Amino acid sequence: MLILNFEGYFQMRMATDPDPTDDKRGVSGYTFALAGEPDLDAKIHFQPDEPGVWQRELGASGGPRVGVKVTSATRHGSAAPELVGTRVAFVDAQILEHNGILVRNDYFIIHPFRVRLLAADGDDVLLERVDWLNPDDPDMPENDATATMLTRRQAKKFTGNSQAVADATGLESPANVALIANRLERRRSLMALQATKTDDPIAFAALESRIEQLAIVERWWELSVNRGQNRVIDRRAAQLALQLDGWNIDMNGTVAANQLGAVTNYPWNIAFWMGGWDGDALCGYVKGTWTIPLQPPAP
Amino acid sequence: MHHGISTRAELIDALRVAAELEHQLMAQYLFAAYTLKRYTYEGLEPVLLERVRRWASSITLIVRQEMEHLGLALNLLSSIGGTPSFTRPNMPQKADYYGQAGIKLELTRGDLETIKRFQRFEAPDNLVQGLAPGQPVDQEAALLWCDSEPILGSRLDLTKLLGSKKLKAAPVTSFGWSSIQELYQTIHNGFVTLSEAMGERNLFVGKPSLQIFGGPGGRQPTGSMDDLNQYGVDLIGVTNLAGAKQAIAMILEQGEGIQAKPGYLPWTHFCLFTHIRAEMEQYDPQGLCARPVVRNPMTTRYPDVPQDEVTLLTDPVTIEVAKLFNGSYELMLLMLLYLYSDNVKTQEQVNGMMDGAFFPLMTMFVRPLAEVLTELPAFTETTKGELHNAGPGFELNGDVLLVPTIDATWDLFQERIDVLAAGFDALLAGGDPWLDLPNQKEEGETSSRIRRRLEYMRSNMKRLAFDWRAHWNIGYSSQ
Repeated sequence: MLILNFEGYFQMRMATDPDPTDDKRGVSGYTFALAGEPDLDAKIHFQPDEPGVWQRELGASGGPRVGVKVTSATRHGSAAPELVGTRVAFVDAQILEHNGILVRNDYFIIHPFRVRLLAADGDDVLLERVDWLNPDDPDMPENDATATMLTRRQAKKFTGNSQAVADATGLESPANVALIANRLERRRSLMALQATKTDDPIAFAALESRIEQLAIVERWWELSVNRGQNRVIDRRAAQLALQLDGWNIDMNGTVAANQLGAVTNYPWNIAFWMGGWDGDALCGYVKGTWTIPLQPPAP
Repeated sequence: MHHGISTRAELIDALRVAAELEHQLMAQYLFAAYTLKRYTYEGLEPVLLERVRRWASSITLIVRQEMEHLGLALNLLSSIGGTPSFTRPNMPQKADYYGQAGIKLELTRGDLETIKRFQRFEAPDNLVQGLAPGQPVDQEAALLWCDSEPILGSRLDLTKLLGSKKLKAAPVTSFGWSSIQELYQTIHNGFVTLSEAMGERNLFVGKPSLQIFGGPGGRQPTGSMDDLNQYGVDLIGVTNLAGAKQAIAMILEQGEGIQAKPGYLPWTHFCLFTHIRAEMEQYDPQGLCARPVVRNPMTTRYPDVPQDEVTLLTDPVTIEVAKLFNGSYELMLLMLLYLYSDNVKTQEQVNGMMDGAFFPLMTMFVRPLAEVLTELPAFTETTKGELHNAGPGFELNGDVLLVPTIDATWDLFQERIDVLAAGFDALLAGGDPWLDLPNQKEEGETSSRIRRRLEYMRSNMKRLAFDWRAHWNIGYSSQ
């Protein structure tokens, strides 16, 4: 058995509810394609060199940088340090729910679902396999999937203020007060960055919008009619420590690359969570395990 | 100045007016927001496009809160035994439709003149007193109100301002208020007066279960309504005088900024419009940031509107898109109305309706169909005027009425969804008539941007039909 543990930040440039899910720029949600930025592609990018990645400047506060890598690996029960640092990609994948039409309550599916393991450097593909919603009809659109097909692909559980997310992303704490402080720190960082962009009106305008958005974490506190129990944390901050867990998929489709001696006629299991969404950077964190049956070792 | 309210019937009438008004404001604001240019291919340089995006974001925030205000008005209505309604007149209407308030109902694109009109709708009383009908608010005074410390009375305590004196009876036979603020202040006093006169227990006779509420103050046990606060919306239930006062205060605080803390003032509707106006005066006095959308675009002539103000759509394909928009909008209203009804329904049915009405219909059909319309030709004629694109007419064919029998509700909703799905099929069976429109060709794509968007909507409408049928066991199961 080959076991690959992977984690890191991914990018997802997508419009957010209540924007329609195919919106190219974002207007009524809280994520946007800002001045000078390309249209939103709504794809999951695990690697920084994928077409469509647009990593924003974050200023002195730092923050997510895209890159999902294998952090530990075993082969037939023994450590496989040569695989540490190899890179994982979800090829052309999207996080889908079609604003409740396809699946309810944000228990997203990922589709299409093609997982690739790349060498640490270069474009060499070590492993690649696809999972089909419907093995009898691999090209079937997701909107034609039955509930059973969708459930198999869905995440299972939300955890707010997740310590696991905080541990993974380095948040000081998953508590609301820390999440708000994090956003305000980012805001200060962007304001300082903006002061250096006075000769770049496009960058300046984009930063202005980001700074405005990061102020909204406090808006509900300002309404005088809100009572104590009404005080809720805005999603711009809450999602920093929100975890969506329970993706667990026995990949059933064609194996497109196999340089590591995997068995191809059995499913390859992949289990992971996603979370730690930073709506300013348009990045989140993924952590999981890809478990692949191997041919028996040579005697 | 209105004379006040002293009977339940008058309070119900006033709340119906308030609900209708919030609905009308919402439609006008949405229309303007959807006409604003949004894409890099529409000729605006990046910094201006970013500014326009922020205008649209602000207006859509205001719209969500107008939806909240509509919901609050209906909760207030329901709480005292009134019948919630989504009926409203088609647009346009004459400037005196709402009497002295001067609220001209019309659908116009998001240019400076439109924003000035919206700014006046949301203005606090002290900034509109003495203005002639249609005269914009003094911008200097507006900026002073929004950007200064509360020296103009923005933090006045509404209850101290109004007192709770008993008011004389007066029939509410026409719109007798000079502003939205005055309307709500009258309603506020009406609640106080009637609570004193008959006691709260006798006034609040409506079933709490017939209201829709959600958000930070909500008690909805399950379903997506718990997330309403994430959209800047807080729908509270109303069961007593304190709740009624809170709902009214929230409406006035978010809208006109009455009682608002200085920190919240920039987010009030009036100040958001004031700042959009200031930026438009500086950066877009010619209205180049809005698409050339005609005024009051309608698919047909309705008897209850001034005909000379209507722009009749003539492009047959555009009319089909407009009909899909109107059908989606009307279905959404019907589902919302069902939620306010006394029909016996399970929590699962309530959640299903909320998930159907609030999210998919609003965000995946009403919104994108409206946006698409503003890029489509209004007319078949080749000689075009300055304004020649279509837009969403928010047309209603009469009253929005509840399905009379609960047993038939799910089937009749299913039928409407199926009709919409078939409408998309018929529309898209006609090839790609949009490919030669400006900006519709994209490198690497064989179909127009509009067609691809409509195909996405068709796919989703079919999924909605499929899911609705399966979920409510209409015909067959998806398992």
